[in-house]
Amino acid sequence: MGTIAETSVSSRRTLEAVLFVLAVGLSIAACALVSMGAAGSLTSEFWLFSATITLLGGVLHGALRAWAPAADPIIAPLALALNGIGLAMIYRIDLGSTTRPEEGVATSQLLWTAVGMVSVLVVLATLRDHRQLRRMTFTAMTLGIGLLALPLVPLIGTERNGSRVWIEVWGYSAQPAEFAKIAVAVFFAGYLVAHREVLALAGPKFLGLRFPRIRDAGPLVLAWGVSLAILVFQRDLGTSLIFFGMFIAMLYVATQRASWVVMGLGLFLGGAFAASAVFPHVAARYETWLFAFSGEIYDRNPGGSGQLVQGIFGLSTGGLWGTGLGEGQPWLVPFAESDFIFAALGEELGLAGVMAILTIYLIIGQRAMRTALGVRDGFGKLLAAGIGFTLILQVCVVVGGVTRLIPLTGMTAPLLAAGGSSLVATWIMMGVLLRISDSAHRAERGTS
Amino acid sequence: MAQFSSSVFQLGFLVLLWALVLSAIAVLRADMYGVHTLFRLRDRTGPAQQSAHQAPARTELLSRPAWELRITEGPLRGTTVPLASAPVTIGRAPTSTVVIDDDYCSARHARIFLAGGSWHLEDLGSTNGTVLNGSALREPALLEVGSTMAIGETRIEVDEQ
Repeated sequence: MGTIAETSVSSRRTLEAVLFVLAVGLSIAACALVSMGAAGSLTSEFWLFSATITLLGGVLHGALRAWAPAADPIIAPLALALNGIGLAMIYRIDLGSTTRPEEGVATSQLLWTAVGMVSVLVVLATLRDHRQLRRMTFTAMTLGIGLLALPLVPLIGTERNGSRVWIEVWGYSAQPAEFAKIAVAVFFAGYLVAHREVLALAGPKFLGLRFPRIRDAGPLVLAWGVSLAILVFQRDLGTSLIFFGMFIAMLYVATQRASWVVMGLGLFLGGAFAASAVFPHVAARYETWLFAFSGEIYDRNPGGSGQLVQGIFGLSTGGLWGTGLGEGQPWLVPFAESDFIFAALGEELGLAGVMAILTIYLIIGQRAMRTALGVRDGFGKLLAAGIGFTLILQVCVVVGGVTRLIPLTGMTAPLLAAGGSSLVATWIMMGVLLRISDSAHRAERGTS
Repeated sequence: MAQFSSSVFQLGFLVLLWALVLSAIAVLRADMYGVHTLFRLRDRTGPAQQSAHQAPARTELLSRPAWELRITEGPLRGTTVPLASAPVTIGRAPTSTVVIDDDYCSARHARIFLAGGSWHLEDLGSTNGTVLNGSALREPALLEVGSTMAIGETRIEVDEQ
């Protein structure tokens, strides 16, 4: 009798070690080029960043060897590489910018990287089986909605740059929606795995698509309502799009029915269109997108297209090969270290570098989907697919916004951009994904 | 000179970046194409397996060397089917012994049966025909060790167990 088996799996951690060495080397090289190009010498920050990234890479690799020996070998090194490249670029903007030199955005980003890494270790050490999360389905829902609503609470919620997505407590600020993403993904996975049959099978057929019954469409309508509420009350198109997109994608994975996607897209486009008709700030976003190069809109303050157009100029300066790290002027774009880090990377690394970075995201997304295919339980499948899809959707929304393919939304590129909440939340998601991939691989090997 | 060495380093950085991407792709290729077939050692499939299949304990059957069908290409690649004494039917119908999910395979495509102490292959009037050792099968033909048959995209070899 014959059996089907996979080739060479015992060397997963060794392969990972090689990739970690490459990722750490890449981060150090980026920091060195930035330091040499913009400061003229290897600064003390360079040594600090290099030492920390090396240490964090080593610790993460050790933790995976100890706690998740069968985990996917690609996810962690690639995530670390993105984190390191982002850190170098943020440091580069710190060096270039004359208006805020002592703020040290890069140093705080380094601190948040360490916090994110500790979170991964905590996830790997405490979450020994991802199915533990399924028991927390409704806790996660409450937590998710609570976190989403937190910026609307008076006193702690604050409004920045027209969006009410921040909270400020004792001088520290955070974007709770980033953490809400994890909770909501857990809730969606737990809810859909229990209800997918009724959502998949019942309902009338129309135009070749099977539509759900009205009463089963309740959760869809609820998710739509919540995402529209985010759009209206927090004025944050990006977060709203991410949550709704995550729900539609997980619904599609759970039921394999295209009608949900059609309905979801229709609802979102309808809602977004209605919002642009009712709320002037949403309408202004569309104008800066469609007529970015008109002089009147470029100069409008607030809500002009200056930032967007500067970003495009930066990308065009970069061209195919870029100006070289530390040799362009990426700080000219407002928020170059967070929302527009992609334009900054495009300016200094060119299309060649940006394509590599996008490919890295794509590979992480592919690993998430591969994990979803491999894991045995439906909850794990949905959670892994949800995490992977959310990551990729966020990248699409950010890059689409910066390159003027879709309206600008003010999301940050996961792992690359400055912003503690997003960085820590994404690292936690990577931790969960690594945990699921560990059980997926054990299941495939038949050694649970 | 400083300009030149700087651009060499910048280019080197892009090369390193792509090196990381390509090595990651090289690692994940193992996942995409890395399925291969392991044949278990003969003595492991020995008596325990045979008694589980309730192999007839008649001396004439035991004296005959045991054969098996090995599927080498197609959706079922890697599977083997022992030839004991019962006929083996091949087709898309779920009731077949070997169910091949292939558009070029008929519901009841072919059968392999024992007649006069030797195995024969017969086409059951399939739409796309059965090929035995490279030529289309018109009437039941004798199977030997090493015979290969092709049904749709599936290839099956006869071998000793």
